[in-house]
Order: sequence, then structure tokens, then C-alpha cells
Amino acid sequence: MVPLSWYLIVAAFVFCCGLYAVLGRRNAIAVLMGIELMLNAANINLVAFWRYGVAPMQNLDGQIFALFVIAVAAAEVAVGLALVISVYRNRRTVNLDDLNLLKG
Amino acid sequence: MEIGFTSLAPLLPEIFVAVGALLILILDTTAGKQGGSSRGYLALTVIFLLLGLVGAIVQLGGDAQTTAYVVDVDAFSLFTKIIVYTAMLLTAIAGGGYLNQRISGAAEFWSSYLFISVAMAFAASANNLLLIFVAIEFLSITSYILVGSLREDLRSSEAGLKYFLYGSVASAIMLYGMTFMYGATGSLNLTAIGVAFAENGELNGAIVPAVILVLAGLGFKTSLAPFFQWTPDTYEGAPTPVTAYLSTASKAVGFAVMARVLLLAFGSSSALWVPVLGGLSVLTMFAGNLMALRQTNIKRMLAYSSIAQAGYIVLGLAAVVNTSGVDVATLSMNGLNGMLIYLMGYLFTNIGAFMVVMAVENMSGGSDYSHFTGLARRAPWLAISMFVFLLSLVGIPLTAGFVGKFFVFGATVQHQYYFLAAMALINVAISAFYYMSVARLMFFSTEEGAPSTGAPGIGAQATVAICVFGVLWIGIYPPMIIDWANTASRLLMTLF
Repeated sequence: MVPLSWYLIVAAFVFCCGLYAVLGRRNAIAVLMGIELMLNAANINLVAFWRYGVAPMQNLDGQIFALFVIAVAAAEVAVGLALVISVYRNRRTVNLDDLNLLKG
Repeated sequence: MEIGFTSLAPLLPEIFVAVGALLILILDTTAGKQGGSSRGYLALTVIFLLLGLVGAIVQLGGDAQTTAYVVDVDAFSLFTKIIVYTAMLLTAIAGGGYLNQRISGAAEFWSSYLFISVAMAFAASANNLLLIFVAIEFLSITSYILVGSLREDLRSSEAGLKYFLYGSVASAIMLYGMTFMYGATGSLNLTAIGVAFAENGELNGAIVPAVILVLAGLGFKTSLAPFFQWTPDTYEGAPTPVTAYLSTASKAVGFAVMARVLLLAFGSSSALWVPVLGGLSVLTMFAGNLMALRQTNIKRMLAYSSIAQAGYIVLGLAAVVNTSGVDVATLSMNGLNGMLIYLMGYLFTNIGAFMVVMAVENMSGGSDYSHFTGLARRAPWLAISMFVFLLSLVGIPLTAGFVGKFFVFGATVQHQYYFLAAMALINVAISAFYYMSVARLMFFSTEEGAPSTGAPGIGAQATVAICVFGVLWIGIYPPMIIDWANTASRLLMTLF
């Protein structure tokens, strides 16, 4: 059996990759992908804790939570892409460094 | 417990508002190519928000109860819900005309507006990690849309995108923290998590990352340092009424959720998070006030001011009295009631201030300091109202801001956090500079300000008048609001 800690390590790795993309990339779409990775890291955690955690498989809390997160992530991407497109139509760029009308 | 129609009765206010939101969408699909009347949608929005507000006020008399396993309808959540509905209602009445002139899809806007109110009401009363996450995401995702709703305006879409990117990163981080709370205790219920953490000392290793990650997510919603970078950009770029509710209702909900999560789930390890909150508070106050000093746009200045105010508010949470061994009923300042009184006063103050800004924007076409120069000559009542709000933001006696600050700072002194109280007082002094410099521009500047035409609409006038009344009422005769906040805060504090 694969122990719980392995899942947590994978999740932490995925989360860090996501955080790196969010902080390091200047393209709005790449940042969006980073956010998706972070949410999926949380999903791995939830399902792993549900399967091997303190009260394994007694109820469906962890799984249901993961399903909700998937749904929310889809909604978030839909809105996010809409905002990116609206910026792109006005500016012809999605580079975050070029979005500097508001500052100070 | 069965989930049936009768057991959902405590949720009626939210159900009303959600039905209103759906109704607007249905009306729009049947309206044909022309699209429905935007004024009609605004009227529906106001009516359904009023229903929600009245429903929440009616519930005040009832006992605390848990509905559908996950929603706590109690004095604390009702206090927050009334703040939310009042803020949304005042903003809709005052800003409706302004928004209808500018947005392209009135039906979508107003139905999202109602949905946001529902989401905030649920977030304020959730006692379960799953509902907290879903409600906060619901609230945030809909807010991203409203912030970016002026599609032709470069600033609005930029503000929307920035808010989206910061916001979704913050909620992903919060979610990651929540998974640890779930993993360590095997439960999603806040009270059960709190019990598990209190009983099992071995779990302490999970508390630190969970607290930090969850605070990062909620700190973003309430714009605490170091997660406040989105605030000035978003507040400046968003339509002013949207800014008004983001800075009051959405922030109040953030603090309510923070209080609930910290007290119920992490109540036993308060020694761990109180210093963190205190540090964040000092950082936030200084960051907000020092940045506000050098602004030349009033919306941006108010954004930094709202960051600073968040720093004061979080002091109340840091100075929450631990109930073990202390009889809660004997304490007049338990920190949490200071936070609630502050939020209620801040609601009237900030909505009023933003509505004055909106009226000036409508009259003179912008919100820079130059548009406020000599406002007292052009629109004396607006200038006087703005002056009252600025006094309340500083915290001058006889205004709501003073009562809130008195209770929050009083709680920190009572707890002998003298350092925090001193830092807060220094910050109040700093903040007086930039608030009063706006007052000076409005009343004493001899320069000719930007030309202005027309007068503020009747809705804006009424709302500003209500806000002035609210600020002075809480400031001059606060016992009622204090009693009410005491009941609400005691309820939450007896739970942990």
C-alpha cells in the first residue's frame, strides 16, 4: 500500500509548482494554469486524507469536498478566461507587466 | 435531522434573495432582443434585498439554530447578515442609476448583485469548511465579474483581472490550508475540528500550517498586509458602487468568517495565532496609512484607508478574551464586540464616503483631489456629509468611528497589549493628516476646482443622508448597537 505521506508529498510538489507559476510567470493564462495546479493539489490532499486519514472512509466528506472544488475550479476558469479576453480585446496583450494603468 | 421544507425556514431571507436573482434572469430571457428595463431590474433588486433585510431582522428574536447541518442562524451570523443586506441595499439605492448608465447587461449585473448578497449571507453563517469555501468562492467569483463589468473601460477590466488573479490564488491557498484541517481531524465541522484540536495535543503540528494558510486566504478578503496589493487597484478601477460594497459588506464577511474559524476551530491554540494577528495588524495599519498619505485620487486614498481600517478591526480579533476562567457576561469589552461595532459603524461611514465620491464623479467627471477642491462652494451638503464621514474615519468623538475604535482599542488595553494600542494610536494620528487634507481642500481651498454640472440623484442624496444619520446615531447614542453586538459576540465566545 502506498502510505499517506507519499500522496501529501506529491500534493505539496504540485502546489509548489502552481505557486511558482503564479509568482514567476507574467502571462495571465500561465498564472491561471498555476492556480489550477494549486486547486488540484488540494484535491489530492482531500482524497488522500479521506482514504487514509484519521477516520478513513467513514463518510464521504473528503470526496464530496473534492467534487465541489472541481466544480468551483471550472467556474473560476470560465470567469477568469472571460476577464482575460476582455482585457485582450482592449489592449491586445495579456502580459501582466503591461497592465499598468492602475498603480501608485 | 430531516432536511425538508420546514427545516429550511431559517434560510428564508436567503431564499427570497436567490429567487429574486433568478427572477431577474428569467425576466431578461423573456424580454426579447431589446432587453428588459434596467430600472425595473434595479427596483426588483431593491425589493428583494429589502425582503432579505426584513427577514434577517425578524429572525433576530429567535433562538440560535443550525439548519441543514451546515448553516448556523444565530445572533452572530445575523449581525453580519444585517450588515451585508444593509450595505447592498444602500449601495443599490444610491448607485443604481450610476451603474445603469454605464453597464451593458443590466439583468446580469443585478442578478449577480443579488447572488453576491446570498453568498455573503451564507459565508457569514457557515459552520462547515465546505460551505465556507464554496460561499467565499461564490462571493469572490461573482465579485470579479462585477468589478470588470464596465467592459469598454480599460481600468475596469484591468481591475477585474487583477482582482481575479490575486483572489483565486488566495482562495487556492486557503483551500490547501483547509485540507490540513480536515486531514488532521477527519471532520469538516468547525466545532468538531475545534474539539479534536483541543483534545489531541499531537495535532499541534498541523495547526501552524493550517492557520497560516487559512489566514492568507481570509487576509486577502479583508485586505490585511501583506495581501493587500489588489485593494487600491481594484477599488480605483471598479465602478464606485461596487467598490463601496467590496470595502464594507465583503470585508465584514471576511472578518466574520475569520472570527468563526479562528475561535471555533483554533480556539484552543489562541496563544499561537494572537501574536500573528497582532503583527499583521501593525503591519497593515502602517502600510495603509503611509501609502494613503501620498495619494492624489480619492478612491485610491479611501482604498488605502480601508486597508488601515482593516488593521484596526483585526486588533479586536487579536484581543479576544479567552473565555476559560472568565465569565463572559461580566466583560464589557471582549474584542469581538468591538469588531462588530466597528464593522457596523464602518458600514455607514464608508458607504457614505464612496457615495459622495460617486456623486462628485457624476458631477465633475472624476475622483481626483482636484475634483474635490472647493466642493463646499459647489455642493455644500455633499461637502458637509463628506466631512462627517472623514471625521468618523479618523475616529473623532460623537461619530461611529470613535465608538468602534474605543471598543477595539479598549479591548487591547484591557488585555495589556500596550504595544498594539500605542501603535494603533500613532496610526490614528497619521491618518488624521490625509483625511483632514481632503477636508481642507473641500472647505478652505481658494483655488477654483474642476467645473461641475447637475446635482446628485435623489437615491444618492437619500443614501448619503441615511449614512450621515447612521454615523451620528451610533456616535451619539450607541447603547443599542453595543447591546446588540454584546449578544452577538457572547454567543460565538461561549461556543469555544
